[in-house]
Amino acid sequence: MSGKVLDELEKIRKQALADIERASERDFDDIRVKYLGRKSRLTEILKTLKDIPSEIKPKVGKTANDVRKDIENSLNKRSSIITGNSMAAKIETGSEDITKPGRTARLGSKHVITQTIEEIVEIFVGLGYRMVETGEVETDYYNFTALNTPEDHPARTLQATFYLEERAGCGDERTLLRTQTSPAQIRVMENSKPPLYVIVPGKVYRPDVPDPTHSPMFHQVEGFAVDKEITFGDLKGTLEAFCEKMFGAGRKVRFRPHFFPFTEPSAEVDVSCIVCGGKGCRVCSHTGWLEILGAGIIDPNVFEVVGYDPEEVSGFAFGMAPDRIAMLKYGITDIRMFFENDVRFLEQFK
Amino acid sequence: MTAEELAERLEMTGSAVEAVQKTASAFKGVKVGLVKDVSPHPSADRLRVCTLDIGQAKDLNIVCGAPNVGKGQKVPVVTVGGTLPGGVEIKMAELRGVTSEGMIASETELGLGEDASGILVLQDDPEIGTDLNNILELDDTVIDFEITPNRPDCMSMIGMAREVAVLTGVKVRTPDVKIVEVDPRSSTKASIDIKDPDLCPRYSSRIVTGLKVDKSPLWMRIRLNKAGIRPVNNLVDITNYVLVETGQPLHAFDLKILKGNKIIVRRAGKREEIETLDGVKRALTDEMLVIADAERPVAIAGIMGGADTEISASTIECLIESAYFKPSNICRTSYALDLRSEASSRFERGIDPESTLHAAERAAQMMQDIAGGRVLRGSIDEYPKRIKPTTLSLRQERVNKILGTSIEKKDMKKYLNSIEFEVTDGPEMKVTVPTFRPDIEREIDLVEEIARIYGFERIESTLPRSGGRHGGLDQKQKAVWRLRDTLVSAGLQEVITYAFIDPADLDRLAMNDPEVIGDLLKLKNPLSAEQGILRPTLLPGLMRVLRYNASYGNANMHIFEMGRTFKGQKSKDLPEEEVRAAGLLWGPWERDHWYAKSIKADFFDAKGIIQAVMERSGIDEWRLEKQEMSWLQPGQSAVIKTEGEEVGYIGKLHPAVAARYEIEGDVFIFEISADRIVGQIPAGRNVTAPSRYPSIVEDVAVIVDDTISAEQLDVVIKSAAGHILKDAELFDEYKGSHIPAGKKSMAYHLVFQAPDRTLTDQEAIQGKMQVVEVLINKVGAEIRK
Ligand SMILES: [Zn+2]
Repeated sequence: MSGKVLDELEKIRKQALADIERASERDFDDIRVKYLGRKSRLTEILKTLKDIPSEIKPKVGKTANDVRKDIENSLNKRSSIITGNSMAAKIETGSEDITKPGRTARLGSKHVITQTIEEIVEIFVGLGYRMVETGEVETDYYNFTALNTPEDHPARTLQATFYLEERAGCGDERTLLRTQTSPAQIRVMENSKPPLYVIVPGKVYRPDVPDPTHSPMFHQVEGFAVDKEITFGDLKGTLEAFCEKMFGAGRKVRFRPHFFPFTEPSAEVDVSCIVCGGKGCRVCSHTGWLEILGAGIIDPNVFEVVGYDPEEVSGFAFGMAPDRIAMLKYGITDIRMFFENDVRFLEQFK
Repeated sequence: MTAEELAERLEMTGSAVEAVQKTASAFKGVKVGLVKDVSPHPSADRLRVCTLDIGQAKDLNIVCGAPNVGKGQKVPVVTVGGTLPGGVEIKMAELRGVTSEGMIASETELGLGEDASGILVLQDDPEIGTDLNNILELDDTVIDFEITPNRPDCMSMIGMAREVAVLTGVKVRTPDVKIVEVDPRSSTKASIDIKDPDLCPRYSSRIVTGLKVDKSPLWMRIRLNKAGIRPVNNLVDITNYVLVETGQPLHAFDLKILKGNKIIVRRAGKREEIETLDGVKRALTDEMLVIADAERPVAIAGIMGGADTEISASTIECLIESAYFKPSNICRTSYALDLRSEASSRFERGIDPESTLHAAERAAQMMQDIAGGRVLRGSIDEYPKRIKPTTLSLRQERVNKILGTSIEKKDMKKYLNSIEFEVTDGPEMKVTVPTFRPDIEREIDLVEEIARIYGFERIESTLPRSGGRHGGLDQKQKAVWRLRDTLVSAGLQEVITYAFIDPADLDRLAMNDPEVIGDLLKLKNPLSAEQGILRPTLLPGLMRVLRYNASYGNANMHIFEMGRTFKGQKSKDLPEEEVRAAGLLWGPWERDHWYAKSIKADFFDAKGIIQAVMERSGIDEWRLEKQEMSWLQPGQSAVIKTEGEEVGYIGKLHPAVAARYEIEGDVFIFEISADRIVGQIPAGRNVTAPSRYPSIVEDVAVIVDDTISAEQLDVVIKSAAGHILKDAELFDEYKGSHIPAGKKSMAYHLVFQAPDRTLTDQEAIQGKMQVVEVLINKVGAEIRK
């Protein structure tokens, strides 16, 4: 009895393996049904196992299961070989020359000066400053007088400031192209009360004949803070934080005493050379330092002009030229390149 | 301390260093030698043989041809192996049978001056054998400072010495003035009359007689050269030398030419004139101060002397002027005459009124010592309007509050004392400011002095403590930045051009209508006529950029600019400024690629960008309205309208305009008002939840009159099918064969979808039939099968 079942199992195994060996891809399902399906002989044997005498039951059971496993394994193996072959064929014909250029949409870009200004503004926004923009045509009062600039200061001459022709469709006030973004200090302070933390980007103008370091139009970013207890130490801390964000950690910053009409004490601010790191190179004229900011404590006269009590509030102001910062950062040696707008130059700042 | 270290430390106390330059002699191996003996050359009449002691064991024999060589002189000896300027090396030589062991040099041979008439005879008994460099201070370092306008006191050697003293704690030593006075008294020779003491508070002078005009001694000429001043003659050089030393400008009048022996300081007469030293005749006004003699102006006070009374080779007797003039008046006069000098640049910033006499005496002493002069007894020093030193209050806590420091009172005192300010203690300190510091007028000025001496680097860095601030961009600013981002993401390159343009560009563009460009704003002092007006439009800038790049062989351009445009407004102080964005497309939108050939940009590339701008801004309601503009080609020219207003224009540049700019090919442009668009941005957006049910797409193609616009068809289609029509996409437009002339075929994908259920095919087909019917009825469409 037992021998018969075992023989039959062996026969099933042999036949199944022979069928699998000959099978093509579409035969697999049939073979699976035929040998492993619910109605297959093998399943039947496994189902009737309980009726088999107990002495041969383990042996028959084990053999039946072995046969089942064998068939499954060889079916899987054969199937993966066959499907594998056809996929490989597909893969082979689908090979691409991946070194051809990709298909892209036109990539525009912001002017490098805009990028620099946005970077600066974002740093100060992070420090709690709000952005203000004011007009490029200003009155003599806002550009000079209110900023503590004496009547006979050389900056007010025709050599240093663009003036508009009197008529020009304007009122009586002497109008000019602002030479600095500082008039915004006055305009903001006139219209609001401290605390003020303000950043002002914009274009400024001076009648300089264009050369590698001069342009009659360039950019400035002005910043100022007015509050109850602003100190020179706060100015230092603020600009050091800015320099670290703008030029990277580990930059040294130094403050040199200087003179500006509307701040006192005033300072010029240098950052350790971004090219050589302070060792000295051509860009920093071998000093290891790059001058990038002018700054100082807002002069009490300015507060009086806008009706603030200089005993009650104090403040600092600073200004920088993004054009110069971009030149230093990218090793550009001629400011005129920014305004010539050669696209071969501009497109390098995607 | 090296010169570089000194420069760096001065920089940190406020004297900005422009340059640190080494000066060097152009010769080597030149020593001081004593001429011990001179004997005739055995075989040459014009040569002599000299015995020279140069401090070595053995004397040298040198053959010399100079006529002025003489026993007992100290002379520069170029030793064998030494070099002259230009690198000429001196060798052992034989001159007509006599060996010469070196050379005695002239000024010219050493490159020190123009005197080639004989050898250089050294003055002041220098030590034998010393290197000539050490005596003449030729190997030196010159530090060039950038003096800020508030520090006129630093425009002198003594002033800078005071700054060095602050750093080192060493006391400043000024030169002693030793004068041997002779009769008669100065006052018998000349009188000084200050008519306008408001403009000339002090006029000091000294008179020196018996002068002999000659070249200055070598040491002085070398020093002047290092200070960047060209030596002239001893008298002129002395006034310049004292100017550099003390900061006090001096003027020397030839007393013989001064009419009536009078110096009158007065305002000029209305029609008075003077010919200045530079040979220019200048008309004066009654606001200008002059120095006059009994008859005429002889100098413009503090600015430049007159040609007539100039020191000349025959001057024997001179009056040294050392005055203090009102700074603002000098500044105004100098500006009005467009005439600047070393003197005016100092007077206009304010010199020390207390040191005028010292400077006059220093100059007199030098004329006595090196120009053979005799100084007349007594000075003439008119000081009708005494300028008193300022005294200021200073609060310790104020200083510390502003600086964020805790500097002690005694240290503040120490710092102020170090710059010669006197401090009296009390609850508030009283600080007396020396007269050479006219910039110190307020307490805050003292704060600055304390800060710079204390050292900015010692002030601790902090951040403002206050809360209550909120940074960022406001909604409008963000919208403007987003507008720029949109243009960039649409593939445009941003450019930045000058805000002043050539008025001729408006003609080139045919953009002359006052309605369009408004009141033009002209610059009073443009750099050139081509930069004469403020731009009323961004277009000229873009056209220039296009032309510039096209000239370099660029085949296509896709650029934009965002910036302000300007229009005059009669009623206001300031013109109207509007932030605009303008774009320009020219040539192929893309280059030829391996996957696609280039396609030329056209109107719809430009319109697509406007579409993107509107979409990004959340403005749903907008349209183009055809309108002719002189700079655009009719038929492809439109204004851009939102619900509220006109926000810009778009179109193809008129071929005539393109031709005037020498541009070949089509140019498409748009210019929009960022301010207006930002003003139109709705507060929110209408957001609907997407339907969860599938959509059905039905295509329809109709033949209509060419004159019917896509916009018209769109309105008709959308009105026909009710709310289940989600979208009608124009996917094809066709004219040509199989379509009658004057007609076009327009094909649409009609997208049907319901928000709450799955549509049946039946409903979609019915929707399509409705659309077809309405198209037939309303626009006479024919259905294309
Ligand atoms: Zn460097």
